[in-house]
Amino acid sequence: MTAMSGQDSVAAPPSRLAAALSAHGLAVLFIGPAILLVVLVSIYPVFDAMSLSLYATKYAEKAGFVGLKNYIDLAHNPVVWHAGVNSLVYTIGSLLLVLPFSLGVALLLNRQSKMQGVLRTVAILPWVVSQTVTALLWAWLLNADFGPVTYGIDAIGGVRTAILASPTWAMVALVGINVWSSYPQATLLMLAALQTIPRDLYEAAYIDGAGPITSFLYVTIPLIRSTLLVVVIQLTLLYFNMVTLVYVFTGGGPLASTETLALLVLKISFESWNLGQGAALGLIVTVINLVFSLFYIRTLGRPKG
Amino acid sequence: MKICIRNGLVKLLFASLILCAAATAAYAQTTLKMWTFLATSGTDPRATALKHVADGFNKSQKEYVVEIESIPYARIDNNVIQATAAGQGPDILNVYSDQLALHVAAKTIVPLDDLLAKEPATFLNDFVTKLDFFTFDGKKMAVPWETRVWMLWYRADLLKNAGVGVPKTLDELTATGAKLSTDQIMGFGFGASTGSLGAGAIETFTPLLWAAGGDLFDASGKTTINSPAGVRVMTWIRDLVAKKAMRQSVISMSIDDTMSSFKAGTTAMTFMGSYRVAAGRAASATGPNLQTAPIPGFTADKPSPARLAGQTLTIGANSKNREGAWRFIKYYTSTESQLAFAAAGVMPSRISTYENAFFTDNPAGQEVRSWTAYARTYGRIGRTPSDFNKLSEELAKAIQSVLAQNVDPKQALDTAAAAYNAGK
Amino acid sequence: MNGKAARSVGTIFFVLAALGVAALALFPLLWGLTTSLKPADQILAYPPLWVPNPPTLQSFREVWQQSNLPIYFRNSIIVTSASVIFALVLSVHAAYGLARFSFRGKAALMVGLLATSMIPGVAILVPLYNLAVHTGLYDKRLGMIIVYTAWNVPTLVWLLKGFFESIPAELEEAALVDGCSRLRAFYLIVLPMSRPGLLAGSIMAIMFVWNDFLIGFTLAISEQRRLLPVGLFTYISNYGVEWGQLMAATVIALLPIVIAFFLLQRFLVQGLMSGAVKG
Repeated sequence: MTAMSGQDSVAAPPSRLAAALSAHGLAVLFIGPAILLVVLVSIYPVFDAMSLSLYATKYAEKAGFVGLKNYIDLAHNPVVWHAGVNSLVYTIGSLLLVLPFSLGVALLLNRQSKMQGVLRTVAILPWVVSQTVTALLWAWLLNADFGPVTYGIDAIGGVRTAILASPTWAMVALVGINVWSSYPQATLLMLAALQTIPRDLYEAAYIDGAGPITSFLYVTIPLIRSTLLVVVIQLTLLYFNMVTLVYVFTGGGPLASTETLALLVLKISFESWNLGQGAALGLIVTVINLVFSLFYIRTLGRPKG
Repeated sequence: MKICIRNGLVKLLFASLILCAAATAAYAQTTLKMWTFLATSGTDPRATALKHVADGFNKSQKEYVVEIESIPYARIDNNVIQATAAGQGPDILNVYSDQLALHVAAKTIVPLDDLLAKEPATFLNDFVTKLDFFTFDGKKMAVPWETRVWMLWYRADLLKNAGVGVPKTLDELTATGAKLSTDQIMGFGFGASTGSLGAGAIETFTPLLWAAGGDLFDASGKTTINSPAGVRVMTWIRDLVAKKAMRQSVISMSIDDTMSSFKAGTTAMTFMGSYRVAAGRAASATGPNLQTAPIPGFTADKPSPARLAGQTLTIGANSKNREGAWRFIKYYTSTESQLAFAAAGVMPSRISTYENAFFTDNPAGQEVRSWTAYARTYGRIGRTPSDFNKLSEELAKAIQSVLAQNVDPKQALDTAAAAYNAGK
Repeated sequence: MNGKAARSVGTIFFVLAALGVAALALFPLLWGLTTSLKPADQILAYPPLWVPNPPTLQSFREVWQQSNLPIYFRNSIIVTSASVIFALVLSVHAAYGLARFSFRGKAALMVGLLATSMIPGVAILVPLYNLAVHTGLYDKRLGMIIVYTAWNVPTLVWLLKGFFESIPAELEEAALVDGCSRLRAFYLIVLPMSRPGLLAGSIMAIMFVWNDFLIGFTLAISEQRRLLPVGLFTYISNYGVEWGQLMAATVIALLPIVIAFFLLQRFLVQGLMSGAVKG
């Protein structure tokens, strides 16, 4: 890792500077500590989890080596498969809503206006609200007994709704509040990308007779393509691994209709006190994450032609 | 020169450190950590009582200082298991009687037999719930400081407005609930979500199951909630919604949501424990409108058996101050402390406490006494296993499937029982 | 004429859309704010009251004077600032090293670093808990600081590396010729030029740590070590949620971060432009 060679440098620095910097010591000193910390806090625990996943556990103690039993039990448990389906519905549903919405907001914020600073802060505001608070706030707004949204629906439509009491609607609501809480992240990245597009390109397109839709499709989209990829990967990982929002908002109910895989990891580990099985499921979720990312990079990452 | 200054500084630092150490040694007080679900501040009258007891203990002697750590009740058991495995944890741990078996199995608490052996019979025999009940594998694990009983709560204002009386049978309850129900008000409600440990479901179901002649467990520890008695109760719950006494939305409510709803006046009746009455009345909109009655039975001649439970005090597995912890436990269960809690609507655990004039002369005391009388006549306490929370959750899911998906009561209970009994 | 009409239609559409987004973003927060100002008996009123009558600071007083919120607040400030500063220091150097040095396996190292950010926190909670217990960092602020630092490093390194690469190396060369040392060239020339990237990176890191729940939930147990998001969760108490207090606490928890965000948002977009967008 410290062996120097100019072969695979991405941005090859001019030789003089390279010579000046290529002291082994400085490289190790600069890069080493960060890598060391990441290895200790992110990578070592994965191996620890691998080991733990091969053991039976009783409360917080290892009880005996059981090989792959935890994985086999998980595979035979319909609850796990059900949670897997929920995770997919949750992730894909949220993505389908967030992507167009956040792009729309980004286009809005990209427009010059006097109110830009305020509008940006306001539009990004949901992002600064933690998942705990988001979940509590919306659970109350939607509360079937005294929630203002419930009252609004009642007053306008004359129906007394209990959104969180219906398995289908609870998932819809969960996706909805997730969109509310996570679109700003996507908007920010897209906005940054939009700002890098030179104005002349749009002017050239305008002169060529392109309308707003055409120039959006043929100028904007291709130029923010790589950002879109980053956003899709980030959000997929965020949604698939999301625990706090779901835990606080519905706790997985009603009828386990919002119980996702990530939430199940937490429940198996700390509510049923089956740490070995929890570790096994956590690793499965990790592998799914990696597969997702590879898939995106394969299909979206390579520019055509 | 510079070095001189540094040397001087170091010496000064050392000197002050040693002084500090000496000073603390002279006034050494051992800190006792108590973990409980109660807070020491806020609007719950029990919080004030707890603070009073802790302060009183700290003033009563010079060797120990007790520090209260409060953790929400849905998390405290998990936190203790986690902390104990980490070699930490409290000296004194408050454990809810339903969760005692869990703590015994997770080895977070230690037996109290050696400490109890030194106590006189006047102490040992003074408990409403006999200490034998807290024996696991022949060892006494806990001392109760509170008794609680479940009752029918009703909003007197709402019943009066609707011109209905307090129901005496479960059928009457359904009819009354239907009359009370409006667009805004739910006649009867209970928490049927899996949140808050699924407490609302199991606490509502159990007394009715007993009234129908059933029980939660058989002798081998398998659940028998799917007995004919269980089906009868589940059918009654289903009919609550069918007859418009309750809304299906209860499946997304935890017991805490039910409490909020009752306080807001959007739920008119519920089954709730005695221990929450004082906190419920503290909400200014509720006030004296919160009234209680026995939980009705299937027939008019007698109410349902009253479910009993209570908070207990235990000693943490990693405590290094067993003697100090025990002294605090004794202080906590002394007449004076028990009276402080009784003023906050808590039913004392010790028989002798009830001899105090507070229970005959003070209206609040009289009410607590009346609950105790009800508990003595109809009370029933059941042992709960270490995986009790799992049964609560399965039962909540069964109720949800009956109310939301029209699953047959028998089938829903069979599913729950099978899930709980798997591997037993 | 035609163009003018189209433009004013565009403006109307813009204003409407902007108002719509603002309403959606603000509605739940305004509800929280008005609740925090309501007297206790109006909080659970149905039909709901939108305006407190009269507004009162009672909930704020209860939260700030009678609860442990100030402790949680202090803990969150300490843990957030320490971990963000540590993460920045580590990442700045690592990113500079990765941007300017070339060595075998650098690409693999970068990919590996990115891959660690794909490990879901919930999957390694138990091992982290064990690790903290064995190192004596369980229920210590330092333990949480270390984990948060490490979790922020990969993203920051990627962001900052893009930034450093966009700064021409000639600038540093010139400084070297002038007799500046490598380190001084880095600290005095490169770092100041990367301010937007540093600020953007810090906002993202601050936001993450300030709002995270899982680590505070798992690695700390005592009230003296409790972080704000976990503290807010504890308002779900034994007698129903104390909504007035919860909302007051939420408003208090939101204030610093909203202010920080308002002040720094310009840099955020600017910083992300030159960094992450490179993908």
